Amino acid sequence: MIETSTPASRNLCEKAKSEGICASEDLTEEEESFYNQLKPELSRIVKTPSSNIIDNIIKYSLAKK
Amino acid sequence: MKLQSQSDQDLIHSYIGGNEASLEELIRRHKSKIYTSIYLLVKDQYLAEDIFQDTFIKVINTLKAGKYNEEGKFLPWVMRIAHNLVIDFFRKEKRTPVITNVDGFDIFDVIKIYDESMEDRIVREQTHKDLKAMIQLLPSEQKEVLIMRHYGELSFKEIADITEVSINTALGRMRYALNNLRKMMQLKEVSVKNTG
Repeated sequence: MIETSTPASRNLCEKAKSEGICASEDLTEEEESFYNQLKPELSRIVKTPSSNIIDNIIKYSLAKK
Repeated sequence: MKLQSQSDQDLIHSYIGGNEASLEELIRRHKSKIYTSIYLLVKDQYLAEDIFQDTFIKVINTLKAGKYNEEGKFLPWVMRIAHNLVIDFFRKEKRTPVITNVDGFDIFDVIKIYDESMEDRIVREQTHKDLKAMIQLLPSEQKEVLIMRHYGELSFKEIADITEVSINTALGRMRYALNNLRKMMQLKEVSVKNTG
């Protein structure tokens, strides 16, 4: 298992944890920066279902009372 | 008002009221997010399309039966249905999506597999193809969160609800996913900085 260290965000969560929840939904700056670099590449992987699948769904809906 | 400018909730009400075109707009609006999320988990076009279709059949049945929960947002709800169908599939098949045991995940095992079976392709393929392969090498829990976050555009709260873990666990899995991807990219000298 790869060990990672996220001290900044953990610190952010400490207070919230003591209150029972962690309100932070943020990644650390470093993680966010890497994620932002990654986003365009991730978005290139986007795929769409074939049109006949959409047609099947629409037909099912029309037939369903 | 044009369908394209209506909110998901308005479209749902319109569809329940009998306007079939509203369903088409909902599908058009969200199909790529939902389908990509399914596809990256099952890694098979036809299976992904089957699950995508089954997902919307459940959506239609629920909406037409008047059982839709008004409190929830549409996309997280549909993503939850899709997620459950993917899990059902893997349970039925009695196989797991790629590497499921987080504790047993070893980056060097991954690199070894990568080197042995895909080295020649890596040299030729573009960065996004490398990245796609790396995503598939992530432990399933990490891959799932990354996919829901990026393609489903879900919050960590929504991901936590769908996967039935705490927000911190969902966030932690995202961190592991990003860190593992970064390490794999460093080791394989794949860069995303100049490919924009």
